[in-house]
Amino acid sequence: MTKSASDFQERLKRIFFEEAQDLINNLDQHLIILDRESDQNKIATVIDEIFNIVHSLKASTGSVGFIKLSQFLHSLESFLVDIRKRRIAISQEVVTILFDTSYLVKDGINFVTGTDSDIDDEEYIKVADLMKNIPKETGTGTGTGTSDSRTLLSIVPTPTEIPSSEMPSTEMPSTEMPPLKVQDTEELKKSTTDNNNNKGPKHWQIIMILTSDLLKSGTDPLMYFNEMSEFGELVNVSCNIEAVPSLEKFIFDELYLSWEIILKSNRPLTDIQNIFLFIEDKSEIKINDVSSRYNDTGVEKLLADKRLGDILIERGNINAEDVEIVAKKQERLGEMLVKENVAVKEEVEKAVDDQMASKKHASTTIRVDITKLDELVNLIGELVITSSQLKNLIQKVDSKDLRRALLSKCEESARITSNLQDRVMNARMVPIDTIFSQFYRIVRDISMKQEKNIRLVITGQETELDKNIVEKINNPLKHLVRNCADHGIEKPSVREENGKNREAMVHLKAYHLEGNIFIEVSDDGKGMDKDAIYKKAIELGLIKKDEHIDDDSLYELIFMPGFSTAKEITDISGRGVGMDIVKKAITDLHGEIKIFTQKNKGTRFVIRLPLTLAIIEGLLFRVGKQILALPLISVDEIFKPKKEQINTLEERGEFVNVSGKVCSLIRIHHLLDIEGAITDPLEAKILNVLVNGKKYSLLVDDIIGQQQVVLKSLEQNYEKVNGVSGTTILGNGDVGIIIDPTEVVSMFREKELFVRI
Amino acid sequence: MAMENKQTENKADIKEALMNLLHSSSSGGNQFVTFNIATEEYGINIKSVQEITGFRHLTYLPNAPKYVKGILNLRGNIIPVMDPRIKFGMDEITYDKTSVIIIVETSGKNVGIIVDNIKDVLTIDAKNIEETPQVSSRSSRSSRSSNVDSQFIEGIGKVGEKFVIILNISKIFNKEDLAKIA
Repeated sequence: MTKSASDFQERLKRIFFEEAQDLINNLDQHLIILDRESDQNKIATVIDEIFNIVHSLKASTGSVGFIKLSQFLHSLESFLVDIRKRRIAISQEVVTILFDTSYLVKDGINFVTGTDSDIDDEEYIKVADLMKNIPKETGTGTGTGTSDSRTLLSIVPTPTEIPSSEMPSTEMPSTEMPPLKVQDTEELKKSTTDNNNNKGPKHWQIIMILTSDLLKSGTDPLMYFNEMSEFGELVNVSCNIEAVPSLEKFIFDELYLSWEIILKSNRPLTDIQNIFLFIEDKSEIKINDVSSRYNDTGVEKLLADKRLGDILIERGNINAEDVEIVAKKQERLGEMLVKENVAVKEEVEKAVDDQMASKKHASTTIRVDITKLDELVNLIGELVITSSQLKNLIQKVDSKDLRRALLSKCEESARITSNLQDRVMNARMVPIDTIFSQFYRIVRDISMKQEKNIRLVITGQETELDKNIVEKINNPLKHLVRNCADHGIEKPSVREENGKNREAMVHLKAYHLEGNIFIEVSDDGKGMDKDAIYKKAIELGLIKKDEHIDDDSLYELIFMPGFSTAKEITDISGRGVGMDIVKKAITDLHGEIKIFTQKNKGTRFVIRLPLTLAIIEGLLFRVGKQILALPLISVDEIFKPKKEQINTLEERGEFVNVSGKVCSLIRIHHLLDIEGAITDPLEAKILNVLVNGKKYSLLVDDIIGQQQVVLKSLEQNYEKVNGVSGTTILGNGDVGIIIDPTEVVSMFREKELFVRI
Repeated sequence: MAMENKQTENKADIKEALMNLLHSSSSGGNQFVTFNIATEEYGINIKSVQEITGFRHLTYLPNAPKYVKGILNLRGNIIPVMDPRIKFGMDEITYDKTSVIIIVETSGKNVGIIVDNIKDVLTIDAKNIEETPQVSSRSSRSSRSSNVDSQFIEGIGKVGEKFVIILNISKIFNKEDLAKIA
């Protein structure tokens, strides 16, 4: 394959992957609703949505040639059709299967796009069998009750379904209600197919993957088609050319093609199977009854997004003139429904609104590569610097009036620029919902496995934050939620004994506050065992025996590496990935985590994160001629030291006494090798930072001030530098170095150790 | 004074011509930006040259090797800047108005190198480029490459009567080599 061709393939795959990702997220969200919803009408809508999503997924997997996955999706689709037609009742079991399929499809997509290397075919077969084995109620007919809007719709579908923007005679907007539309055409067709299911011809899907050396034996694949067509009508034949290699690898007598055939036939299955009798063992032949997907004219129902009128004309049930006449008389579907007392006016209006909103949403979203946004951010940064330089130049203008006018214009452009900056930053934000929604599944699994009764409540899922943060906070959150459900929540019987509700609650909450994002994970479980933590801390040597420690500091200790009080390790949590990893991940995001816990009442983790990784609140300071910055969040206090505060301990280095506590003095200029810095602590300033709960005193020349700094990667064109977390561009266009306090402290410790040895 | 003016004008001309070349898609593989370091004239394939900018204030980068003189901001991108003199084991100089930073692209990264001045853009046919004799030790240098370690040299280009040392950018920024020298 040529390079450009494989590039194209890659690109296609990537687009598919992104699309599929969205669809799956959407799918999961609907499954969650399905899991909780009890209103039958809403369930019907959700099922329709799920069906549409699965159908789109199938279409796009098919179009990029991932046949196996699309086959799986296909059986899922059939399963959904059964649910939709109420042949299968929605139960816990069904929802679980649907959740499973969504996970398998996700895995499958990761596999085909190469992001996942291992895939278990067995799983797919198992779930597909599960779907098949769900008992079906036989025939729905019209006996589903008059309260069901769908059956009613099928009574009066014809005139309502012809609205069309192509018909100039009516001023009808083409915004009919798709779920309803699909339903009633579906229903209409069903009534015909259902009757046909027993006596009429069946639709067979035949997947024919013939042995690759078929041609060597002189067999022409065409012969199978001929035989099939003798048995009935070949409704659809599609050929899969995915396996055809590039020309230089092409072997002329090898068969690279495989086919999917839809055969409409009155013959029994065995007859069709017999066609392939002689090649069965070498080839892969799959025959499925897919009659439910087709109406009697062989039109695939799933694709029947056509207007009903068109379908009827096509089938010859009615003629075009009739349609025209009726169309002139027609009213909007919504109005009709209200008139027929099928639907309440408000409901219809709301549905139309929703429909409009979703249409609007679909047409106004585009995908943008994040690097394009980064470039924009860079350019805006330059704009800010240039306009501040311009402002300085304006001061040199002699004419007072002109100067004033220029300055005011300059201010204006600065305002626009900062506005622009905000917008671009905003464009990088995504709602946290994308990761929150997965927790339903996680909590559900744990509840089932451990026979707990846990309800997950999610609030603030629409809260937006930087895409990079969303990706990086995913694992820590997963860990916390698992911990809550696994260790925090008690069994229902225990809860009852303690006078609690049998149903436990895990609450995930996100909100904006003072320019930060807060994420809370809380449970109403047993709370943390203070004594156990205390014992463990002594055991690990983190505190001395009988040492007094306040509660907050004690709970902080669970973030230390190797700290786990879990008595038994379950397969859900406690597998070595500790709270220290959670803490580290959050610190790396310039955030912090706090614990609030109360025995028998529950535990609450509060995570504070910056809105974006691209901008941090920084404290600028000077060492020698260098301008450096620290994330403000790690700065504890700043002061000018007094003589009595500075102590040098023999062989233990310099210390600063900060209100009774002794902190190591870190000479930044030593550590980073900066020339011309103030060396006498009494002339300099002390900047206290908090690292892992301990205070360290940094010696700096002077403090410049607090400022929002745009983070710039040093690694992009260089490499990671120890002690430096990144760079930023200062007001004058120069580069400022952002110090990583954690790294600086560990550098200091290493050096100290070295000196002492 | 007048001469200096002329020189800077000349420099501006070359720069402009260069930028034009950089932006024209037709620039072939045999064009070289040439510059001086000390007395020798060096060349870099124009394809790897991203931009040329006058010397400006660099921000000191802590814990970096000595030849990395600092970092600068190029339209929002942070670019490390190195001095080939240090890399080549020459004496350091104080940079002045004629000092130039050439931003080159090597293995996907943009890096600046400080040179004494920009000379020219020359077309040197492949047949006029003589491969460097393979000498590994620093003591046995190629006669023309003056004090530059031959591993950094791709070849010696002959233009009329003069010789241009064509540098191998990727070698200069190769980390393994850095370890040896540092």
